[in-house]
Amino acid sequence: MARPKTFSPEQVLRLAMACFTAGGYEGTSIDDLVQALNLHRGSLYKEFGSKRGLFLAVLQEYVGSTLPTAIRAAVGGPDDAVEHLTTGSDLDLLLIAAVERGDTDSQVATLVRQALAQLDGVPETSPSPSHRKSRVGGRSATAILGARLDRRLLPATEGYEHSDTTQEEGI
Amino acid sequence: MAQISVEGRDLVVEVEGMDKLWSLKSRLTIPLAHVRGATSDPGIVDEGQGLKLAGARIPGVIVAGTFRQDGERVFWDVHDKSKAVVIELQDDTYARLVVQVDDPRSTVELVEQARAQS
Repeated sequence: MARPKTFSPEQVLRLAMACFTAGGYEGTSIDDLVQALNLHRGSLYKEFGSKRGLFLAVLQEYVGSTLPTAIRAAVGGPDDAVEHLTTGSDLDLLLIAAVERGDTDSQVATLVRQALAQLDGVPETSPSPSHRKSRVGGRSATAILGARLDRRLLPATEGYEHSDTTQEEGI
Repeated sequence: MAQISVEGRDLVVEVEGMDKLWSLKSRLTIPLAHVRGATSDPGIVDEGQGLKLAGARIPGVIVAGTFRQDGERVFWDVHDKSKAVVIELQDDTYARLVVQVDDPRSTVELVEQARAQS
């Protein structure tokens, strides 16, 4: 039998990050993680203590490395930095951490605040000299996250438009 | 089924009803310093328990007692796998406990918060 592939600690965190980003915190089971990380269940518990322990390790990696790298790539690139950041799924783990765990887990809340501080002041357009229209200043972290939420939404379904007039008629 | 509570600096696991008989344990007291975390994990039951050292195992009905798996001692008390919670330990008799609780979500939060504050 072929020896199962083992991943480095960094790869384990990156793969777990992908799992949590796709499935959310509650929606990601230990079964999902054991399969994706190719770890024995016992090794996963021994290494991280619990699902929360793994999530905290992932979030630390995200705040310490993944997010700063994404911000540098966005700000240094030729496109609008906010546009760049909100197009991919770079900010989704931050949204998940804030919504699912930010109000119950103070360590998650602290890491989310550190991430928000990094996002605060990301310039709206790239400051590179080729872009003469660069604006001074940046958008707040919450505005950037709001833009990401908006971009994630599917287009509205026809026939489900909310109508104010019907409500008023009912009153 | 087990009741999990925090008493001072200890995590207390009270084995309930007839499970005391099957698992040959009625109460486990573990210093919080030995507790590394808690996780709701229904899937762990399907992975098997390894070698039974003391207790009872009727597949699909009950797993209760002390088992040895991959060189580790694990305490089990589970009938309904959907309510299984894994409590990971260090420097203790057991490597981990796998116990069925009434409300996995609140038990996990209780253990994780007690750990963070200890």
